[in-house]
Amino acid sequence: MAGKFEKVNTFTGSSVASLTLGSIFSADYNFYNVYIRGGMTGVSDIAAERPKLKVLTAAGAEFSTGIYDFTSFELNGSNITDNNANADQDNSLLNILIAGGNTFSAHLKVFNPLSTTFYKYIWAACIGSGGYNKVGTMVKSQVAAGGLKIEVPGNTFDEIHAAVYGIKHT
Amino acid sequence: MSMLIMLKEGGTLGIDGNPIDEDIDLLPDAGGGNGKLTLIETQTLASAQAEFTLSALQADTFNTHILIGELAVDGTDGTQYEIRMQYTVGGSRITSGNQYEHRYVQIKGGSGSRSTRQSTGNFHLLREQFDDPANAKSFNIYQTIHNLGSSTLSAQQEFRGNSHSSASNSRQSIGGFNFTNTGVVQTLHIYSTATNGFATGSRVSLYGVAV
Repeated sequence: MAGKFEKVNTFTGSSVASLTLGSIFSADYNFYNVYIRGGMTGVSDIAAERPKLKVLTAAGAEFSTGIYDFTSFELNGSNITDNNANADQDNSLLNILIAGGNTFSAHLKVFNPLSTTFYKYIWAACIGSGGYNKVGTMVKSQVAAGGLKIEVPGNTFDEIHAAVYGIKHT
Repeated sequence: MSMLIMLKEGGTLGIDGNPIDEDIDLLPDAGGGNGKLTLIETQTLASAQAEFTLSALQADTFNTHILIGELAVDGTDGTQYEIRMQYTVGGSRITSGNQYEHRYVQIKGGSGSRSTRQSTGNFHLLREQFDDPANAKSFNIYQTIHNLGSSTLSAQQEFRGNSHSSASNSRQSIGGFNFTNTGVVQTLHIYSTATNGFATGSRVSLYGVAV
Protein backbone atom coordinates (compact mmCIF):
# COMPACT_ATOMS: atom_id res chain seq x y z
CA MET A 1 0.00 0.00 0.00
CA ALA A 2 1.46 3.29 -1.04
CA GLY A 3 2.19 5.59 1.84
CA LYS A 4 2.39 2.95 4.49
CA PHE A 5 5.38 1.18 5.89
CA GLU A 6 4.68 -2.51 5.88
CA LYS A 7 6.55 -5.22 7.67
CA VAL A 8 8.64 -7.18 5.20
CA ASN A 9 10.10 -9.66 7.63
CA THR A 10 11.71 -10.09 11.01
CA PHE A 11 14.80 -12.08 11.87
CA THR A 12 16.32 -13.29 15.09
CA GLY A 13 19.28 -15.36 16.15
CA SER A 14 21.10 -16.50 19.26
CA SER A 15 24.68 -17.64 19.72
CA VAL A 16 25.44 -16.87 16.11
CA ALA A 17 28.26 -15.05 14.37
CA SER A 18 25.97 -13.55 11.77
CA LEU A 19 22.37 -12.85 10.91
CA THR A 20 21.25 -12.95 7.29
CA LEU A 21 18.35 -10.81 6.18
CA GLY A 22 17.74 -12.62 2.93
CA SER A 23 15.28 -11.73 0.19
CA ILE A 24 14.07 -8.57 1.87
CA PHE A 25 14.31 -6.26 -1.13
CA SER A 26 11.74 -6.60 -3.87
CA ALA A 27 9.75 -4.60 -6.37
CA ASP A 28 6.98 -4.35 -3.79
CA TYR A 29 8.80 -1.44 -2.11
CA ASN A 30 11.11 1.45 -2.99
CA PHE A 31 12.53 2.44 0.38
CA TYR A 32 13.21 0.51 3.57
CA ASN A 33 13.69 1.04 7.26
CA VAL A 34 15.69 -1.68 8.97
CA TYR A 35 15.95 -1.90 12.74
CA ILE A 36 18.69 -4.00 14.28
CA ARG A 37 19.41 -4.67 17.93
CA GLY A 38 21.58 -7.18 19.64
CA GLY A 39 24.11 -8.04 22.25
CA MET A 40 27.21 -10.09 22.74
CA THR A 41 29.51 -11.11 25.49
CA GLY A 42 31.54 -8.14 26.60
CA VAL A 43 34.00 -6.99 23.98
CA SER A 44 37.69 -7.47 24.58
CA ASP A 45 39.06 -6.74 21.12
CA ILE A 46 37.24 -3.70 19.83
CA ALA A 47 38.61 -3.87 16.32
CA ALA A 48 37.67 -7.50 15.85
CA GLU A 49 34.30 -7.37 17.47
CA ARG A 50 32.54 -4.53 15.80
CA PRO A 51 29.37 -5.59 14.02
CA LYS A 52 29.61 -5.19 10.27
CA LEU A 53 27.08 -4.76 7.54
CA LYS A 54 27.29 -6.54 4.21
CA VAL A 55 25.02 -6.34 1.20
CA LEU A 56 23.76 -9.47 -0.52
CA THR A 57 22.72 -10.12 -4.07
CA ALA A 58 19.29 -11.45 -4.90
CA ALA A 59 20.84 -14.91 -4.84
CA GLY A 60 22.18 -14.34 -1.35
CA ALA A 61 25.84 -13.96 -2.26
CA GLU A 62 27.89 -11.21 -0.64
CA PHE A 63 28.71 -8.26 -2.81
CA SER A 64 32.36 -8.05 -3.70
CA THR A 65 34.53 -5.94 -1.48
CA GLY A 66 35.17 -3.39 -4.18
CA ILE A 67 31.70 -1.92 -4.18
CA TYR A 68 31.58 -0.48 -0.69
CA ASP A 69 32.31 3.14 0.00
CA PHE A 70 31.92 4.08 3.55
CA THR A 71 31.98 7.28 5.52
CA SER A 72 30.96 8.01 9.08
CA PHE A 73 31.14 10.42 11.92
CA GLU A 74 31.85 8.41 14.98
CA LEU A 75 31.23 9.98 18.34
CA ASN A 76 33.23 8.10 20.92
CA GLY A 77 33.42 9.61 24.32
CA SER A 78 34.26 13.26 23.90
CA ASN A 79 35.91 12.75 20.54
CA ILE A 80 34.73 12.65 16.96
CA THR A 81 36.44 10.18 14.72
CA ASP A 82 36.03 10.30 10.96
CA ASN A 83 35.97 6.93 9.33
CA ASN A 84 36.05 6.37 5.67
CA ALA A 85 37.05 3.56 3.43
CA ASN A 86 36.75 2.60 -0.17
CA ALA A 87 36.65 -0.88 -1.59
CA ASP A 88 36.89 -2.45 1.82
CA GLN A 89 33.89 -3.99 3.42
CA ASP A 90 35.91 -4.82 6.50
CA ASN A 91 35.50 -1.20 7.40
CA SER A 92 31.78 -1.14 6.89
CA LEU A 93 31.25 -0.94 10.59
CA LEU A 94 27.83 -0.57 12.03
CA ASN A 95 28.80 0.28 15.56
CA ILE A 96 31.53 1.18 17.92
CA LEU A 97 31.72 -0.73 21.13
CA ILE A 98 33.96 -0.02 24.05
CA ALA A 99 35.88 -2.72 25.85
CA GLY A 100 33.36 -4.58 27.95
CA GLY A 101 30.43 -3.16 26.04
CA ASN A 102 27.89 -5.61 24.82
CA THR A 103 24.78 -3.98 23.42
CA PHE A 104 24.24 -2.24 20.11
CA SER A 105 21.41 -1.09 17.90
CA ALA A 106 21.08 0.45 14.49
CA HIS A 107 18.52 2.05 12.24
CA LEU A 108 19.16 1.80 8.52
CA LYS A 109 17.52 3.76 5.76
CA VAL A 110 17.93 1.90 2.50
CA PHE A 111 17.44 3.75 -0.77
CA ASN A 112 16.64 2.11 -4.05
CA PRO A 113 18.23 -1.32 -3.52
CA LEU A 114 16.88 -2.83 -6.73
CA SER A 115 18.13 -0.10 -9.00
CA THR A 116 20.49 -1.14 -11.74
CA THR A 117 21.00 2.47 -12.76
CA PHE A 118 21.63 4.40 -9.59
CA TYR A 119 24.11 3.69 -6.90
CA LYS A 120 22.62 2.25 -3.78
CA TYR A 121 22.87 3.92 -0.47
CA ILE A 122 22.37 2.92 3.12
CA TRP A 123 22.32 5.47 5.85
CA ALA A 124 22.66 4.21 9.38
CA ALA A 125 22.34 5.66 12.84
CA CYS A 126 23.92 3.38 15.39
CA ILE A 127 24.53 3.33 19.08
CA GLY A 128 26.68 1.05 21.17
CA SER A 129 27.21 0.52 24.84
CA GLY A 130 29.97 3.04 25.08
CA GLY A 131 29.43 5.49 22.31
CA TYR A 132 27.48 6.78 19.42
CA ASN A 133 28.03 6.25 15.75
CA LYS A 134 26.43 7.49 12.57
CA VAL A 135 27.40 5.72 9.41
CA GLY A 136 26.76 6.33 5.76
CA THR A 137 27.57 3.43 3.54
CA MET A 138 27.45 3.80 -0.20
CA VAL A 139 27.34 0.75 -2.36
CA LYS A 140 28.74 1.54 -5.76
CA SER A 141 27.33 -1.49 -7.50
CA GLN A 142 24.60 -1.16 -10.07
CA VAL A 143 23.64 -4.76 -9.40
CA ALA A 144 20.32 -5.20 -7.67
CA ALA A 145 20.59 -6.03 -3.99
CA GLY A 146 18.49 -8.72 -2.37
CA GLY A 147 19.37 -8.60 1.30
CA LEU A 148 21.70 -7.69 4.11
CA LYS A 149 23.94 -9.52 6.52
CA ILE A 150 25.14 -8.48 9.95
CA GLU A 151 28.16 -10.26 11.28
CA VAL A 152 30.82 -9.99 13.91
CA PRO A 153 34.24 -11.57 13.61
CA GLY A 154 35.90 -12.88 16.68
CA ASN A 155 32.74 -13.09 18.71
CA THR A 156 29.16 -14.27 18.55
CA PHE A 157 25.91 -12.51 19.08
CA ASP A 158 24.27 -13.77 22.22
CA GLU A 159 21.14 -12.46 20.64
CA ILE A 160 20.38 -10.41 17.59
CA HIS A 161 17.14 -9.20 16.10
CA ALA A 162 16.19 -7.36 12.95
CA ALA A 163 12.95 -6.02 11.54
CA VAL A 164 12.53 -4.77 7.97
CA TYR A 165 9.82 -2.39 6.81
CA GLY A 166 9.22 -1.23 3.26
CA ILE A 167 7.27 1.56 1.65
CA LYS A 168 6.10 1.96 -1.93
CA HIS A 169 6.38 5.37 -3.53
CA THR A 170 4.85 4.54 -6.86
CA MET B 1 -21.60 -1.21 12.48
CA SER B 2 -20.12 1.56 14.58
CA MET B 3 -19.75 -0.83 17.48
CA LEU B 4 -17.96 -3.28 15.22
CA ILE B 5 -15.43 -0.62 14.23
CA MET B 6 -14.76 0.32 17.82
CA LEU B 7 -14.11 -3.24 18.75
CA LYS B 8 -11.97 -4.09 15.79
CA GLU B 9 -9.58 -1.18 15.50
CA GLY B 10 -6.47 -2.02 17.47
CA GLY B 11 -7.90 -5.14 18.97
CA THR B 12 -9.09 -8.62 18.30
CA LEU B 13 -12.58 -9.48 17.30
CA GLY B 14 -14.04 -12.74 18.42
CA ILE B 15 -16.92 -14.43 16.71
CA ASP B 16 -18.32 -17.58 18.28
CA GLY B 17 -15.23 -17.84 20.42
CA ASN B 18 -12.80 -17.83 17.48
CA PRO B 19 -10.48 -14.84 17.50
CA ILE B 20 -9.90 -13.02 14.23
CA ASP B 21 -6.51 -11.36 14.10
CA GLU B 22 -6.52 -10.18 10.52
CA ASP B 23 -5.46 -6.57 10.16
CA ILE B 24 -8.56 -4.89 8.82
CA ASP B 25 -7.86 -1.22 8.27
CA LEU B 26 -11.02 0.74 8.83
CA LEU B 27 -9.44 4.16 9.20
CA PRO B 28 -8.93 6.60 6.34
CA ASP B 29 -5.46 6.79 4.82
CA ALA B 30 -5.26 10.52 4.32
CA GLY B 31 -5.79 13.62 6.34
CA GLY B 32 -6.18 12.15 9.76
CA GLY B 33 -3.98 12.01 12.80
CA ASN B 34 -3.66 8.27 12.65
CA GLY B 35 0.12 8.26 12.61
CA LYS B 36 0.53 6.92 9.11
CA LEU B 37 2.58 8.48 6.42
CA THR B 38 0.44 9.73 3.61
CA LEU B 39 1.95 9.66 0.16
CA ILE B 40 1.18 13.03 -1.38
CA GLU B 41 2.96 12.52 -4.64
CA THR B 42 5.85 10.87 -6.42
CA GLN B 43 7.53 12.44 -9.42
CA THR B 44 9.80 10.39 -11.66
CA LEU B 45 11.56 12.00 -14.56
CA ALA B 46 10.88 10.55 -17.98
CA SER B 47 13.61 12.77 -19.37
CA ALA B 48 16.27 15.01 -17.91
CA GLN B 49 15.10 18.27 -16.41
CA ALA B 50 16.49 20.90 -14.12
CA GLU B 51 13.84 20.99 -11.44
CA PHE B 52 11.25 19.11 -9.44
CA THR B 53 8.30 21.30 -8.51
CA LEU B 54 6.09 20.03 -5.72
CA SER B 55 2.97 22.09 -5.28
CA ALA B 56 0.53 19.68 -3.65
CA LEU B 57 1.96 20.10 -0.17
CA GLN B 58 -1.32 19.89 1.76
CA ALA B 59 0.39 22.04 4.37
CA ASP B 60 -2.93 22.83 5.99
CA THR B 61 -3.33 19.14 6.77
CA PHE B 62 0.18 18.02 7.62
CA ASN B 63 2.49 19.63 10.13
CA THR B 64 5.47 17.57 9.05
CA HIS B 65 6.54 16.33 5.64
CA ILE B 66 9.09 13.74 4.66
CA LEU B 67 10.84 14.07 1.35
CA ILE B 68 12.73 11.09 -0.05
CA GLY B 69 14.78 11.69 -3.15
CA GLU B 70 16.84 9.50 -5.41
CA LEU B 71 18.48 11.93 -7.74
CA ALA B 72 21.00 11.38 -10.49
CA VAL B 73 23.12 13.57 -12.68
CA ASP B 74 24.65 12.04 -15.76
CA GLY B 75 28.34 11.84 -16.46
CA THR B 76 28.42 14.19 -19.37
CA ASP B 77 27.73 17.27 -17.36
CA GLY B 78 31.33 18.19 -16.92
CA THR B 79 30.83 21.22 -14.74
CA GLN B 80 30.64 21.94 -11.06
CA TYR B 81 27.11 22.28 -9.80
CA GLU B 82 24.87 22.29 -6.78
CA ILE B 83 21.58 20.70 -5.75
CA ARG B 84 19.37 23.33 -4.14
CA MET B 85 15.93 23.90 -2.70
CA GLN B 86 13.74 26.99 -2.68
CA TYR B 87 10.18 27.75 -1.60
CA THR B 88 7.26 29.61 -3.03
CA VAL B 89 5.39 31.70 -0.48
CA GLY B 90 2.42 33.92 -1.20
CA GLY B 91 2.61 33.12 -4.87
CA SER B 92 6.22 34.24 -5.23
CA ARG B 93 9.33 32.12 -5.29
CA ILE B 94 11.73 33.35 -2.62
CA THR B 95 15.05 33.92 -4.32
CA SER B 96 16.45 36.69 -2.17
CA GLY B 97 16.20 38.14 1.28
CA ASN B 98 18.39 35.76 3.22
CA GLN B 99 15.52 33.82 4.72
CA TYR B 100 17.27 30.52 4.09
CA GLU B 101 19.86 29.20 6.49
CA HIS B 102 21.65 25.90 6.26
CA ARG B 103 24.27 24.34 8.45
CA TYR B 104 25.64 20.89 8.10
CA VAL B 105 28.67 18.74 8.59
CA GLN B 106 29.91 16.44 5.90
CA ILE B 107 32.56 13.83 5.47
CA LYS B 108 34.18 12.93 2.24
CA GLY B 109 35.15 9.41 1.26
CA GLY B 110 38.71 8.72 0.28
CA SER B 111 40.39 11.54 2.13
CA GLY B 112 38.03 11.28 5.06
CA SER B 113 38.13 15.03 5.37
CA ARG B 114 35.36 16.53 7.44
CA SER B 115 34.06 20.02 7.02
CA THR B 116 31.17 22.15 8.04
CA ARG B 117 29.08 24.27 5.76
CA GLN B 118 26.90 27.12 6.79
CA SER B 119 25.28 29.91 4.92
CA THR B 120 22.51 32.43 5.04
CA GLY B 121 21.70 32.69 1.41
CA ASN B 122 18.93 32.49 -1.08
CA PHE B 123 18.43 28.76 -1.10
CA HIS B 124 18.95 25.59 0.90
CA LEU B 125 22.02 23.76 -0.26
CA LEU B 126 21.16 20.07 -0.54
CA ARG B 127 24.50 19.14 -2.04
CA GLU B 128 27.50 21.25 -2.66
CA GLN B 129 29.22 21.43 -5.99
CA PHE B 130 30.98 18.21 -6.64
CA ASP B 131 34.66 17.55 -7.11
CA ASP B 132 34.14 15.08 -9.87
CA PRO B 133 31.82 16.58 -12.45
CA ALA B 134 32.77 14.19 -15.21
CA ASN B 135 31.28 11.06 -13.69
CA ALA B 136 27.67 10.04 -13.19
CA LYS B 137 26.44 10.59 -9.68
CA SER B 138 23.68 9.51 -7.39
CA PHE B 139 22.30 11.74 -4.68
CA ASN B 140 20.05 10.45 -1.96
CA ILE B 141 18.19 12.76 0.35
CA TYR B 142 15.89 12.18 3.28
CA GLN B 143 14.42 15.40 4.60
CA THR B 144 12.06 15.80 7.52
CA ILE B 145 10.40 19.19 7.06
CA HIS B 146 8.32 20.97 9.69
CA ASN B 147 5.93 23.92 9.61
CA LEU B 148 5.38 24.40 5.91
CA GLY B 149 1.84 25.45 6.75
CA SER B 150 2.75 27.88 9.50
CA SER B 151 2.98 31.62 9.05
CA THR B 152 4.58 32.10 12.44
CA LEU B 153 6.97 29.19 12.93
CA SER B 154 10.01 28.80 10.71
CA ALA B 155 10.01 25.97 8.22
CA GLN B 156 12.77 23.70 9.42
CA GLN B 157 14.36 20.63 7.96
CA GLU B 158 16.39 17.81 9.38
CA PHE B 159 18.70 16.75 6.63
CA ARG B 160 20.34 13.42 5.80
CA GLY B 161 21.98 13.15 2.48
CA ASN B 162 24.74 11.70 0.48
CA SER B 163 26.19 11.81 -2.96
CA HIS B 164 28.42 9.53 -4.84
CA SER B 165 30.37 9.24 -8.04
CA SER B 166 33.78 7.71 -7.79
CA ALA B 167 35.34 5.97 -4.83
CA SER B 168 37.07 9.06 -3.55
CA ASN B 169 34.14 11.35 -3.99
CA SER B 170 31.33 9.88 -1.95
CA ARG B 171 30.03 12.18 0.73
CA GLN B 172 27.66 12.08 3.60
CA SER B 173 26.15 15.07 5.30
CA ILE B 174 23.99 15.69 8.31
CA GLY B 175 22.51 18.99 9.23
CA GLY B 176 19.58 21.31 9.43
CA PHE B 177 17.91 23.98 7.39
CA ASN B 178 15.86 26.90 8.61
CA PHE B 179 13.57 29.16 6.63
CA THR B 180 12.08 32.22 8.26
CA ASN B 181 8.51 32.07 7.09
CA THR B 182 6.60 35.04 5.85
CA GLY B 183 3.60 32.90 5.06
CA VAL B 184 2.50 29.40 4.24
CA VAL B 185 4.91 27.56 1.95
CA GLN B 186 3.02 26.64 -1.20
CA THR B 187 5.63 24.96 -3.36
CA LEU B 188 8.95 23.18 -2.97
CA HIS B 189 11.47 23.58 -5.75
CA ILE B 190 14.34 21.10 -5.91
CA TYR B 191 16.71 22.05 -8.64
CA SER B 192 20.13 21.45 -10.01
CA THR B 193 22.51 23.94 -11.48
CA ALA B 194 24.04 21.15 -13.57
CA THR B 195 23.98 21.86 -17.26
CA ASN B 196 21.87 18.82 -18.00
CA GLY B 197 19.80 18.92 -14.83
CA PHE B 198 18.62 15.73 -13.18
CA ALA B 199 18.94 12.56 -15.21
CA THR B 200 16.10 10.39 -16.44
CA GLY B 201 14.75 8.17 -13.70
CA SER B 202 15.42 10.62 -10.90
CA ARG B 203 12.61 10.48 -8.39
CA VAL B 204 11.25 12.36 -5.40
CA SER B 205 8.43 11.31 -3.11
CA LEU B 206 6.65 13.60 -0.69
CA TYR B 207 4.87 12.28 2.37
CA GLY B 208 2.75 14.00 4.96
CA VAL B 209 2.77 13.21 8.65
CA ALA B 210 0.04 14.49 10.93
CA VAL B 211 1.41 15.20 14.37
